[in-house]
Amino acid sequence: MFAQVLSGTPYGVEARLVEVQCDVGPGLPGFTIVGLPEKEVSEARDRVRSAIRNLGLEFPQLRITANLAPADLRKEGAGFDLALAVSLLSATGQIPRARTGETVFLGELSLDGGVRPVRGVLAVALAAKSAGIARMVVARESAAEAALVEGLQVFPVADLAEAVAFLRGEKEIPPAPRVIPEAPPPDWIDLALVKGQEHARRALEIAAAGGHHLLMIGPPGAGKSLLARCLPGILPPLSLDEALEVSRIHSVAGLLPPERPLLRWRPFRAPHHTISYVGMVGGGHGIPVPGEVSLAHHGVLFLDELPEFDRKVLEALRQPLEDRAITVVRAGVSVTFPASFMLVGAMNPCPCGHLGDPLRPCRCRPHEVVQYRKKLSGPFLDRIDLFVHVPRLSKEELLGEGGGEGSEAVRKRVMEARAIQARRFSGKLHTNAEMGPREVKKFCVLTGEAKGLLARAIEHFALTGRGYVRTLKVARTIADLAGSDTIGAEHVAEALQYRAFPEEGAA
Amino acid sequence: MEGKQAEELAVQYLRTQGMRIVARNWRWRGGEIDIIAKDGDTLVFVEVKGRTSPEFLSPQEAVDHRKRLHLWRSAQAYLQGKPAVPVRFDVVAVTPAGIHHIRGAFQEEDVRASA
Repeated sequence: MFAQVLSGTPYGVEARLVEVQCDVGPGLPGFTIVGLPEKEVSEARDRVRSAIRNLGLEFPQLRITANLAPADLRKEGAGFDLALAVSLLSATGQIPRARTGETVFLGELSLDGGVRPVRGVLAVALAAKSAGIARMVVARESAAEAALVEGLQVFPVADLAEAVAFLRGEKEIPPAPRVIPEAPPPDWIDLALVKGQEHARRALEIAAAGGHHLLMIGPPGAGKSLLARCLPGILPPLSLDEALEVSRIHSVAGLLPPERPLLRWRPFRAPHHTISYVGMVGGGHGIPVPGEVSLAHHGVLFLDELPEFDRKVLEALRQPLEDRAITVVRAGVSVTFPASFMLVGAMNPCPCGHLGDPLRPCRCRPHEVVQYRKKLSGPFLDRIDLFVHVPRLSKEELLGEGGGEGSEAVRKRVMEARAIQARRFSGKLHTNAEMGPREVKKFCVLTGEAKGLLARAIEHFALTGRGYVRTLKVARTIADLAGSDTIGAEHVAEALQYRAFPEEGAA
Repeated sequence: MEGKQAEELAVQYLRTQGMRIVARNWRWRGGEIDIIAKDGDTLVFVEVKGRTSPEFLSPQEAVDHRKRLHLWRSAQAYLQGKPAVPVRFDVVAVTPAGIHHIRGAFQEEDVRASA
């Protein structure tokens, strides 16, 4: 008496389908689960047994062997409970076998037979779809999340009894409708509230338009954090594909709210500077879970007080800043998470924060300043596209009515520039920042004048190869904002303004 | 209630439940099984508990870890070389208040967890 049904488990941000096989035979009674189960999977047998008994169904006093295939994949979580129960009932003939095929079962069982939601439903649903599976049975709370996948019939069940009635054909369950939820934009700070800081506002706009990494340097209270928090409001909303990608990552991390299964707005992650290495890049016990760099995928990773972060944590950002993905290796498991985020850093020019301030003297000794700056390595800084100084506000600016442009107007320009980029890359890339060497060569066409300016700048700023390419990409974005096909001298000149790490008195 | 008397009552009770007695006090060098019976196709190993107090016992109390392991090993010895059949472990508690029959009192993982 053998039966087999399908289930799945998140693996990185992807998911793998798992065959849950069940063999029931004569012999000394027992229930064994094999196939590299972690503790919570082995505990499934107690939940499955109680759930089946409490429904008034028969739990066989026989030798039961359940196998989770492929056997070399580590199985975590309670998501296999439902599949185990169904395959067991199917093996003992309590559910007709024909009805369980081509269906993925995912859910945790409670002792009274209730089906509970698990994390990573969206990832498993996407894996099911790409494997050509047509149907999925999940907990009621997970249904909206799974139903986001087009072409997949999702049947929500409240408990095992409902699932059994459905599989016996005694009860019709309408498939969950595919609802793309409308989400009102979160309560972002509007750029109109930022006083002064024209230079920084412009830098923010360029960064948003081209997806560039930005570092703001300035004294405390100048408005660095405020500016950063305006950024999501001037970014275009996620496309549906991007929204699914982002939601899948948050689903695997167990951060997706069940009532809003699709994240429509760009994530803004602002981890505190005490964050651990694992918290930043991902990892943890067993199969790695995504860290902040991946949770900020297609969004903004804001690191306030940049030099206060652990050096190891910052150096770990080098790979995702370059490759837009991060590979996490844990005891025998290697997982690559997407991590295409915009890095926005904020820092003071020195430990006391007042270096270069015309009104307040800096109290730091020179070696302290050097020490402070040294926390950011050259290779790390080399990956930043835009450096911008955010000076203290003048009396007039502070007392003024603000009066800057609102986020709405800026977002319109950003979206226009992004539309130009989308046409240019015909869907393969999203932003200028993502260009590889081939695209840079093809799309960053300079006028003769711009070439000459850049040639002088290479010497003056001691640009590295990478710095040179970054300047080109930023100039490309500035040209896009201006609606220009070729990159002119004025675009290069502006890009170069954001190239230098401001030194003492550079304000 | 004495052991012999309790076993006799248990046997009568099991017969009323439609079970066929295969062996009583089956011995091997490792010990003894009180009753071996057939319930349909299922081979049932029965442990009989005589009690003078009228309260029913939980299966956990009725057969402790050592006893379960003992029954398990005895069952394995009995099944040695016989064709595979479904197997069950029952406990019958005989008390002045009546007979309490626990079907499927334990299974493999209950034995392993205690071993």
